[in-house]
Amino acid sequence: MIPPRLTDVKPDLPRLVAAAQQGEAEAWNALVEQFAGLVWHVIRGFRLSNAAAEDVYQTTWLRLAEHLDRIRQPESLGGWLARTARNECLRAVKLGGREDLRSDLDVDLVDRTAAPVDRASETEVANEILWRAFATLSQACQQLLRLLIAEPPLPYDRISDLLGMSIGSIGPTRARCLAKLRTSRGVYLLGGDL
Amino acid sequence: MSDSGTNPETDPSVMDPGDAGLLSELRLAVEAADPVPPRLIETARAAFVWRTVDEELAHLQFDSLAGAEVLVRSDTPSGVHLSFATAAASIEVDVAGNTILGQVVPAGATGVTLLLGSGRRVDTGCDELGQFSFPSRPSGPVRLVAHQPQGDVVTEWFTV
Repeated sequence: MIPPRLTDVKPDLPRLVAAAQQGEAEAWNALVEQFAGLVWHVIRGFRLSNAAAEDVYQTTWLRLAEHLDRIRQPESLGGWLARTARNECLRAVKLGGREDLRSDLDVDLVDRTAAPVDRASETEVANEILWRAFATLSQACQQLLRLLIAEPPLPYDRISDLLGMSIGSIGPTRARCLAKLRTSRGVYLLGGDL
Repeated sequence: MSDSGTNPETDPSVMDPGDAGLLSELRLAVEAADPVPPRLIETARAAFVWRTVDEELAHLQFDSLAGAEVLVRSDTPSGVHLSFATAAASIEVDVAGNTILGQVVPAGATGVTLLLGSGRRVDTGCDELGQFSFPSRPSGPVRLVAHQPQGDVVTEWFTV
């Protein structure tokens, strides 16, 4: 379920950050609303356990709360959150090194197979097939595509930083990953085993 | 994008319309299949209560788990070492097994409080060297507050 949006009008970031700095909880909630999905996309690009992913999510927002008064470029807030989440993910991967790294995507796949798909709408079936196809992609492709579909959109130079990939290679890599996604979706469509 | 300086091969803002359409479909599919859990949105909202701090913030100076280098399993460190500092004080933290050991420098702190993101707090005393310990390792993000005669110092959030 997609969380309800507080507003469809793009909030004025500098004003929201300033209001949150003044202690307005409504402004903070609007920031959460705006960037909740972006932070989640960054985290879900890593194969962390659910517990570790949730810890990273909470830590990222606690970081913003403690650094709120030091945010000097509100318009770069999305990039700041993405970098913070990514660094915490890398840390969590090491912290959890001795634990079994589960693939939550695979867990989801198993759960969903049991769902009564025959009552699902066409859109739901199409979404489900595309999601399954996405889950077959490499982690690198999943990370890139998640950063590309995140809203509000991250600037390409920020994506380049986050993935350690030159800006020039984003376009060709995106094209390759999408070609694989298309192929994988085609396999599921032909297989008809949903 | 017909500017002479733009190369469609390397400029990521140039995209095949079919690819752009597939990305849009993917956005909807991923949002439907893997939305942000509402519980986590609540967690993010609740983080705001930690904004107001009268204490001085001690920034992370060193983290044995920081850096992008990849560890293979056999290299996984048995413990975690963290160091936080303000201009006038530092807090060293060592986590080994389920024990958190640490030291506040300069000595003189009367005690240390472990704060959990849930709002729970655990207090412990410091010895004459400023050393302290907590017997259990909490899950989820935590921060330490060192109670010094000059005022409280609070670390950034960290997870161990």
